[in-house]
Amino acid sequence: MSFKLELRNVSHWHGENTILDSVDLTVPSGGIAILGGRSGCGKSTLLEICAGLTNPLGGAVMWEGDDIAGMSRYELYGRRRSMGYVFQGHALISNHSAFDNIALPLKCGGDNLGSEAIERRVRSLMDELNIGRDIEKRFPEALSAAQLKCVAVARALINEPALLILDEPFSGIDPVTARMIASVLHGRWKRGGMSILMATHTLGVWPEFPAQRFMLSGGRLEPAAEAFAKVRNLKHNQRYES
Amino acid sequence: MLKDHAKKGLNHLASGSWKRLSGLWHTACGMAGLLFDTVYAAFRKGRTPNLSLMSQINRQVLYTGVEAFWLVGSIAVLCGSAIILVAMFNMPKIGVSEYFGKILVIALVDELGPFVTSLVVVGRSGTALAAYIGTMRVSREVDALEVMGIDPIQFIVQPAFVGIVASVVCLNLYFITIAICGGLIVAWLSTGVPLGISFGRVFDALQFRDVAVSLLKSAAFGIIVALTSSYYGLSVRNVRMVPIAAINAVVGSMFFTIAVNLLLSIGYYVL
Repeated sequence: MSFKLELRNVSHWHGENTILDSVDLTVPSGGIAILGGRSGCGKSTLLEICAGLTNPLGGAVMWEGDDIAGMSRYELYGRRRSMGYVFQGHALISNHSAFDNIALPLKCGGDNLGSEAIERRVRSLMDELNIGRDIEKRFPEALSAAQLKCVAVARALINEPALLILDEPFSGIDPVTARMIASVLHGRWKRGGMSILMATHTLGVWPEFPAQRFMLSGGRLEPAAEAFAKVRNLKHNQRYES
Repeated sequence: MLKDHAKKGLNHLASGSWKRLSGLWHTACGMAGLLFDTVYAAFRKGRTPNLSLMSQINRQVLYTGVEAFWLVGSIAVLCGSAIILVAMFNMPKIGVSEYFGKILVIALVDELGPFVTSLVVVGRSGTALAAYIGTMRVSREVDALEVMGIDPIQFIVQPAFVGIVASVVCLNLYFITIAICGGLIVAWLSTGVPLGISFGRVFDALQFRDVAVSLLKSAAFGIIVALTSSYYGLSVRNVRMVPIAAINAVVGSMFFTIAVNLLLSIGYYVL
């Protein structure tokens, strides 16, 4: 199970608003990259470009060394089956119950699993993520924010993805659930070595993970340490000038 | 001054009409593309099975077909009664009573059955489907499907397509049966014309070809409703576009249904 993701010189803009300006990013197989930045700086767009949901206006996105621009719609669908994506909003299918939402990638994923095998895998993941049996028949509108997030994470993990993309996975939920989700992801990463790309407001999450940390600001992506040093210098200079 | 206003108005009308026509052409091309994608997704090599396909089709048939039974039944009795009473009172006056059965078959089986049932389905399910798919786009459910490697056409459009076409065909058969039986019973109650004679004249005039044409027409109308609603639903980009998609689905489905009805009539009667 490996997935190497590469962005080469990716640029994107809406009208005159530059969102990404010649961004280079590599998430090696089994590696973790964490993107930080203010709201609206383009983190979600960057993740969508990585998943092939948005076509960049410049540059190339490479999955396992292959440019996705040359792939057909069906080839993209096939490759995405080894990918998990947690949206900032949960994006659960509204007319499917929590159980069916988690089982969806297995039911339509082409693995030809029987219903018993699907049920076993879903239930085991539900137990891992503390999703109670009492909510499995509930539809998304009847779930709390934390339950929605857990179901969304379970849906992303059910296929045992080689690349997991997380858009603000800990926002809007209580710290206990956030810690539980983090520990499940940590355990899965340690066990299987999946690649993880995460966007978050708080770059300090997962201090125990050997992650590459980046700051996205003004369309440019730079290592967090450099970005923080720049801010520190700026503050220092401002203080000195004043 | 008045001349200038009239000129401006005419120009506006001309440019507006051109815009609408080109919009309709654009929609027709989009729908043709969606039809191709839907059929291709069903039969392409290496497609993934959708284990929830049957339950989705059942759900669509429930919403579109089963839940419309009362409405279609009521409309069928009203339409059938009105047409049969008008025919019973007026045909003897112009001396064409012997064509009573044939006229009823042409009016109810060939024309009204497929058309009225498709209009009911447009009003009930076409709008609902466009709004539902539009909402799925806004809440990013369609993106979620794509990122799971699930083709949204296979997951959303195909079940709706099969469910709506099956529902319209069944509702059409139901409409025809209820319209003829209900209409003749109402005519018997109000005029006293023996039921056996009226039924005999209608069934003598009814041929297998009439039923086959009616079913083919309703299948074509069902395809139009499913494609138009799905097309407008999938073209939604933000929440403001959801009600617009529902309106466009109704207007587009009605327009294309009438246009295809005319083309089929030309094909059947003229060619």
